[in-house]
Amino acid sequence: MTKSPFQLAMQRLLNNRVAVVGAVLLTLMVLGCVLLPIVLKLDPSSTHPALRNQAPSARFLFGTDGLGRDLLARVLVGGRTSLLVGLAATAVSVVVGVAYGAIAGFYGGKVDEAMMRLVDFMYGLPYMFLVILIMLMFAETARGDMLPVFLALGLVQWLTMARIVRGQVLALRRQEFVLAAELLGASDARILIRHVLPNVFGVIMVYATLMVPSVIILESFLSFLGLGVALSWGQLVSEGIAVINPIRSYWWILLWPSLFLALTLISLNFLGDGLRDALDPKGRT
Amino acid sequence: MTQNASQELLRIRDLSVTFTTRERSVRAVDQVSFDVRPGEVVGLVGESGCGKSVTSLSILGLHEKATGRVAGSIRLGERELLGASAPELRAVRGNRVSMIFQDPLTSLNPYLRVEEQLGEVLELHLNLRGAAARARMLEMLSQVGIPGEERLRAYPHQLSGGMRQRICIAMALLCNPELLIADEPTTMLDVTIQAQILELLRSLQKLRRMSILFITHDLGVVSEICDRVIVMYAGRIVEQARTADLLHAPLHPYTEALLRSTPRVDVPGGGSLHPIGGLPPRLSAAKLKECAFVPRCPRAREGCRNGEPELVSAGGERLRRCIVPVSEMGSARS
Repeated sequence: MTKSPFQLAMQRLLNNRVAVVGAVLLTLMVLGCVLLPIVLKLDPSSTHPALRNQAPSARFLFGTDGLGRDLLARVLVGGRTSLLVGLAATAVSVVVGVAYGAIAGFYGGKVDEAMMRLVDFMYGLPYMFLVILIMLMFAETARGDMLPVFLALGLVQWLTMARIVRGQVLALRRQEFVLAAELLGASDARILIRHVLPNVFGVIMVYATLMVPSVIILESFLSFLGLGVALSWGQLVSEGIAVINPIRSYWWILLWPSLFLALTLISLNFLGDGLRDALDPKGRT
Repeated sequence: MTQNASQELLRIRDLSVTFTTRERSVRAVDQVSFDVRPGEVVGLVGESGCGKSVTSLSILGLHEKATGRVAGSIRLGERELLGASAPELRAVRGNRVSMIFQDPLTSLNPYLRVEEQLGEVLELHLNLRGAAARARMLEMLSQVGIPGEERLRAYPHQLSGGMRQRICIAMALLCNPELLIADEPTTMLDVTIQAQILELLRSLQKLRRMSILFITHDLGVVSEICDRVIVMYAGRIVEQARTADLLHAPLHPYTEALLRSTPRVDVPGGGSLHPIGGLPPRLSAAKLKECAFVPRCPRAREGCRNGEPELVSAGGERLRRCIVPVSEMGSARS
C-alpha cells in the first residue's frame, strides 16, 4: 500500500494525543450544538417568569437566566452561531487570501510588489474599526442576516493568509519540479493548481484551523459590544457579566457560555498545533 | 534557408542574458554562440556561476523573467524561440526540447504519484489518457531501467535518488524530444549511480538519435559522454573543441587549469591536483578591459590586459579566446 504524503501526515496526527483530544472535543461540541437542541426539543427563547435565575437543577441542567430561559438551550444554540461564524468567515478569508497570495507569489516582480503593498496598506487600517463600520452599514438593511458578519470578519482576516501563501508560493516557484512542469509545457493555471497549491495545502490548513478560534473571539467581542446579529456565546457571556454583582451572583449564567467558548478555542488550538507538527516537512519519517 | 543552416538542430547566436536589480546589472551570459547538430552530445563546462545554467534555461525561456533580459537569437530547426509567444513556447517545451535537472529530490512533485507526473506530459502534448498513456509510460519506464507496474503507483519519497533521476529522464523523453538539456544530471548522485545514469543517457541517445546539451563542471563526465565541449568562463565561451582534442591538448589556460584540478586514474599514483586559485570575477554589464581570466591565469602576460581577446579559430572546429601562442600551451604541464 503506497501512502501519499498527506496520508502520512494524517497518520502522524493520529499519533499526537493532544491533537486527537482536541479533535474529539471539537466534534462533540459541533454535534452537541447542532443535534442536542433538536433531540431534546430545547427552546432558547421561551420564558418562564416564575423560574427566573434558577441555579442548575434536574429540570434545567444549566439553570435559567433573568427571564427564566433555559441556559442549556441558549448555550447550545448560541454555539451554533459562534461555530458557523468561525467556519464561514474563515472560509471567506481562505478563498480570498489563498487566491490573492498565490497569484502575487507566482507572478512575482511588479505584480507581487503592487499586490502586497495593498495588503500592507490594509494591515495599517484599524481592523476593529473597519469591522464595526461594515456591521453598522449592514445593520439596517439586513437585520438578523449573518452574511455581513462572515464578510466583515473574513475581509479583515484574509490579509495574513495572503501573506503566508504568497511567501510559500514564492519559495516553491523556483523549485525544480515547478520549473520542470513549466518546461514540460504546462500552463500557468495548471502549474498553480496542480503543482504549487497542493504543496501549500498543509500550511493553509494549519493557519485556517488557527484562524477559526480568532474569528470566534472576534465575533464574541462584537456580540459583547452589542453588535452581534444573533444569539451567540459572546452575547451570553455579556449577559452573564451583567448579572454578576457583589450581593447576589448568578454565576451559572456566566460560567456555561464562557466554559464552552474556552473549550472550543482550546481544542481548535490543540488541533492546529497538531496539524502543524504533522504537516511539517522536516518531521517526515 | 541554405543547406548549411538547416543542418543544425539548435543554433544560438550572440546570446546575452542580463539581470538588472536596483543596485547593479549583471551580464550572466555574454555574446554566446554555438550549435548543436542532430544526434550530437555537446558539453557545456565551467565552474559555478559561469553562465552554464542560465544559458540552458534561456533556451526554453525559463530564466528569471522579472529581472532578466535576453538578447540574440535561439533557433530550433527553423523556428526562432527568442520572443516566441507563450503558447508557442509551451508547444516546444517537453515536446521537441526537454530538460532534466541536477537534483532529482526536488524535480518531482512530492504530492503526485509517478503515473500522475508522467501522465501530465502525455496529456499535454499527445492528448493521451487512460490505458494508452499507461502502456506508453510502462514502455518508457522499462527503457530507463525501472520495470514493474507498482512503481507507477509510488510517490517520489518512496524512490531512491537514482530511481528518481531515471523517472525524470523517462518524463523528459516521453514525447521523443529532438533535444535534451541535461543540467548537471549526475552531480547529486553517488559515483556508482552516476555511472549508471550516464550509461543510460548514452544508450538512449544512440537509440533515439537525439541531441543532448550536457551541462556539467566535471570533465570526467564530459569524457564519458560528449562529442564536443564548450568551455565557459564568466559568461563567455573561452574554448570549443572536440572532446578528445580538448582533453588531450587544451588551448585555453582555464581549460588547462580545470584539467589539472580533475583527479586522474590513468596517471600512476593519481598525480597531484592543482586547484585554481581565487574566484571567478564579479560580473557586470560593462565591457571588459582585460581578459576575464587574467587574475587567476598562470600564463598571464602583458598583452592580456589590453582588452578582452576575441574568440578565434584554432584550426578546424576549435575556437579559443586567448592570446598565448598555441605552441606555448602544454609546455608548462607537470
